[in-house]
Amino acid sequence: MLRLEEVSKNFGKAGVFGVSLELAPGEIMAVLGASGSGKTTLLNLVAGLLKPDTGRIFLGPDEVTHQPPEQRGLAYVFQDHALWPHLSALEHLLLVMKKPDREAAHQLLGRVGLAGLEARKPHQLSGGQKQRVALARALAAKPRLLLLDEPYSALDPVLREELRLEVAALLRAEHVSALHVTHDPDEALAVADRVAVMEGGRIVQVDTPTQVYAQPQTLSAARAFGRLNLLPVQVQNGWVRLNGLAWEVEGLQSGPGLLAFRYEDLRPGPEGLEARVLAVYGGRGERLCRVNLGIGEAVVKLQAEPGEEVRLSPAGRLRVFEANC
Amino acid sequence: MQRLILASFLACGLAFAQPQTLTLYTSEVLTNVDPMIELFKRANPGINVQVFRSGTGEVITRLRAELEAGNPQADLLWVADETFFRELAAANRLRPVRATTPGFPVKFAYQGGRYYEVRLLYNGIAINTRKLGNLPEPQTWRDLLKPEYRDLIGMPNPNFSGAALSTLGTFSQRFGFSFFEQLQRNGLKVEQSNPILQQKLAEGQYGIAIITDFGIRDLIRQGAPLKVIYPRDGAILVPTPIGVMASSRNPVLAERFMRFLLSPEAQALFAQQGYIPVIASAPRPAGVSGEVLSIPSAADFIQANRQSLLTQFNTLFNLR
Amino acid sequence: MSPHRLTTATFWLLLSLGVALPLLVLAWRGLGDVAILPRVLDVAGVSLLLALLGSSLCLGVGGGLAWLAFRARLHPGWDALLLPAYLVPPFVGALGFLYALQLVGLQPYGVGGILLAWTAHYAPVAYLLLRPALESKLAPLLVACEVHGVTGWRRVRALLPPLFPALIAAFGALYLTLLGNFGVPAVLGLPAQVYTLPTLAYARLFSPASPDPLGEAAAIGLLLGLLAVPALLLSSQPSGEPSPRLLRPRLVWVARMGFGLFALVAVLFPLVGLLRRALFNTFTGAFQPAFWAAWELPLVRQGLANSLLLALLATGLLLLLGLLMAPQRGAMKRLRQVLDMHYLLPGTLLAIGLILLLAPTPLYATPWILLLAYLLNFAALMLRSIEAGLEAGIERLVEVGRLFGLRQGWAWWKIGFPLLRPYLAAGVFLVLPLCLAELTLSAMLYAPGSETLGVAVLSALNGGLFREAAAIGLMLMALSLLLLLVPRRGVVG
Repeated sequence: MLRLEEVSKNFGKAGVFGVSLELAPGEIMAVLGASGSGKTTLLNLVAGLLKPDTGRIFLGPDEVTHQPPEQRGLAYVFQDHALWPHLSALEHLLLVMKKPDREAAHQLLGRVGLAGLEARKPHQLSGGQKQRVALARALAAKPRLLLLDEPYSALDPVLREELRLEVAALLRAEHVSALHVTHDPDEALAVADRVAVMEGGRIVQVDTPTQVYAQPQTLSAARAFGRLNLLPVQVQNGWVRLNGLAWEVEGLQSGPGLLAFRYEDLRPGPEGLEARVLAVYGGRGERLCRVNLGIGEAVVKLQAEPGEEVRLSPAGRLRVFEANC
Repeated sequence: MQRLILASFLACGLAFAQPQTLTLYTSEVLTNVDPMIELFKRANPGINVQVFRSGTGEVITRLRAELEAGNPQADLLWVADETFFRELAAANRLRPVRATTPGFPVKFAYQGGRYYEVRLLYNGIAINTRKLGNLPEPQTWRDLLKPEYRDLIGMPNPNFSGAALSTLGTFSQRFGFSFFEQLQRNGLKVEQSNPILQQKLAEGQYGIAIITDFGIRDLIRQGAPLKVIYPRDGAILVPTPIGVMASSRNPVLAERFMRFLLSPEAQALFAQQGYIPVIASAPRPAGVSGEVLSIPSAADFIQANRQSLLTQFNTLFNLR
Repeated sequence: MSPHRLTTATFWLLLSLGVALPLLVLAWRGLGDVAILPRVLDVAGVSLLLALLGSSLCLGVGGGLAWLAFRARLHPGWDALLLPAYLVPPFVGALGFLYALQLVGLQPYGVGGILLAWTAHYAPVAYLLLRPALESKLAPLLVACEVHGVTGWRRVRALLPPLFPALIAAFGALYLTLLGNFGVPAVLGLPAQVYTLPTLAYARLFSPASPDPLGEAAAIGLLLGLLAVPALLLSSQPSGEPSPRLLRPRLVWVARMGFGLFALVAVLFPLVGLLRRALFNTFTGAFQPAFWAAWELPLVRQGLANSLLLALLATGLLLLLGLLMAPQRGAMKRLRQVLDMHYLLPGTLLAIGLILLLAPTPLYATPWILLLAYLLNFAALMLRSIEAGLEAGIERLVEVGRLFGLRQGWAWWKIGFPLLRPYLAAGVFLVLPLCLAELTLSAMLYAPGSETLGVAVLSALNGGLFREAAAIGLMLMALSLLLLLVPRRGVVG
């Protein structure tokens, strides 16, 4: 559906560098990364709002690298909605439809939950309603590819989760391919078939969300999903020694590195690393403890009380990344 | 869209340029020249007369600049500076018009009929009787040097007003330029133009003005506490001739306008406006009986010394 | 450099040269007459001093009102008390002060009168420039001061420096405007032989005592340009955003009284002067409205027709130019920057340059030369107004339309132009009144048949028709104030 070949756009400090990517028809791909990692630039390159310095962009069979945006057949849902202030919800849809069809427009507005609000202009709508108009507009254009740029970041958490699932369902039902930029790992996990992790203008890993979460290939890929502990360690031939214990690790095989593990990667048991619980706080539906492992502090998913002494050992092999990256 | 713009351009062009248009450059006051033109238009329907009106100095400077650029706009020139007419006549820039009106004194057709006097205008003394109060009225020009009139006197700017240039030249020849230095020491102030000076005189900002006579009579009619005094040593007859430019695009029409000014109805209107008509049989303005005791304007002297006179005067009164 | 870019660069160079041609001709001719400059240095000094003093006064009064309005959280509706003074053309205001000061027995001519008329007219400009800066820059700082108990001198030290850029920019803009202002010193200075460079250039141009009027006027224009240049570097537009609602209103009554006092002095006082003159016989005091006599003057009717036509044409053409250029913001911005010279530099320079350039052509002495002058003078203003809209996000919304498959022209038609409407309206309401009451250019470029309303006032004044001048002035005032009634819509979005 979409193919990027070594696309670069240099803004000096920031930009996009040598990005290659392929999206299957009907696939939803999340582009995950911190702010400034080049996600939005990538989206604008695909949209044709920016011209790449080098590289080629294909949509379906056509190369669109030098096509103006209006010929690419895309739709875009912007973080700030970018609605047209002088048009009603219905007019938004009619303007972008190839063959304006009031009936279809009404139906679509109904599907995104805006029945009865067709005549309202953007300033008469709430934030969530505006986002629904933006979405309906995007779907009305019957795009080859839908681009979403942090579409839910301005919404409250409940609305965000609700809309995120509704939209993913809608897209799947319509079989629309989508490139979804976000910095929120939950969002990527919830909506995407695959996740592309961006860091410093480059794509560092592309895989299914679970795979990226469980098997991050780089430190930044690991960071992108959060819930991460990093402890400085020394690796010797694939083993790290901690207070007399030896754990077999993946990744870096020897030298100084960072031991990376998620909150749920250490479990309590009769044997393992001695840890003292420093503080306890409730996460969302789970209990997290800040513990002192002797070699540093970490957050672990654990049923314990402050001051309690526990022993912790890894659920599987942990990963060590090079310390300097 | 483009056609629409083009069409509106054309429409505007038509609105600006009317056929059969005469352009008159004059220093005549608007309130007097406008009714005269109305009268002319009534007698000659379909003819439009455009007026450029300013002080004599400005009118001349403008026409000079246009002549220099080879693009003179005026058909007729009517200003209070005979020397400029002489200059134009010498350069063959004026069209001779034969004087045929009965009763017209030939001495007022200058340079073999290249320009004419159509009514007579005098520089005299005007006073605000209220402002002057118990002070005696000045009777001669030299009376103006008396200390009792200190800071009461005004005159128009000779750079701007042809009549004032006449005053400047005539007195400089007669009494010497020192006359103005003495006046300056007696607090004489210079105003831009005759109309402005007469307004300020009427409002009491001045008590005495060296000024043209007709406008004062007009203000007296409006109720201003003014009086015209023709000094015993002679009011200055200020030439205010009119002539047809040789470059006129409408010479016949222009000539008709000039002759019209000598017609009985035009002469009567002049008298109504406070001027003394040039044709002896025409009525006199209210409050003027018989001949005005007058001296001629020193036209030759002015022509010869114009630049130095103005420079001296400007330096004395700090004018630009 | 690629051939395409070379062509573009050449195009812009030629265009800039073409637009600058009047100024270049002026400089060339003026350099030939620099010999007179030592004799006019005193006038340059007066001009400079008046402009500096006037700008400070406007900044003081306008800034003071802005501060009061800011502290008192005055509703924007109160601006209606200041705006009339700004909408009335400056020379009409000057006329009003002339008559009003005479009414109370004060001498209006000279430096004092000029400064008074300038302050009345341009203090609202300072207010409009500074109020947004206060709201955006100062409001958060003031809240912080209040919370942390910073008072007195320490508060001044905390609040003043952030305002400097806005103050300097406003000062630069005011200085440029006052330096080039012709109407006020023409009405209140010329009769008392108090000259500024613009009125001196005018006086020289029509002076019979000068051997080379045009050359001298050009030399004076050159000097005027020289005085203007340093301020060009200062004149950037300060901008602002709405302030937090945390500030409690203070000094409400002082602010209201300040606004009322300003309206009284700057609007009502000159209005009374004009009314008194226009309605009552000066000598007898009898009720004798001069409106009909003024209307009877062919000059006035001609002036009204010409001014209306020129204003509508100029505004319409500039609107068209703006619409055509809006889709190419880069090109429009560059064009605007080129045209800025005629907007920012005193109009006197443009007028003299156009005379020098066009006197031998058939264009001279027609209304078209005035139209050209108006277009050059006010184009930047219209383009700036449209640029403000494009920068406020309209261009992006059009881009969004294109992204959804709308073709360029269609996207502008359906999205860009409708959204630009308030900005276009703002441009029209800026340019139209300025054209209608234009004097600086008209006074130097008019010819019989192409008089404007401003010229009619000046001519009536020079012809001693004081009452008629007052009547026309009132007419112009009414015409300008009509614009107050036009509803001003905020920016949508």
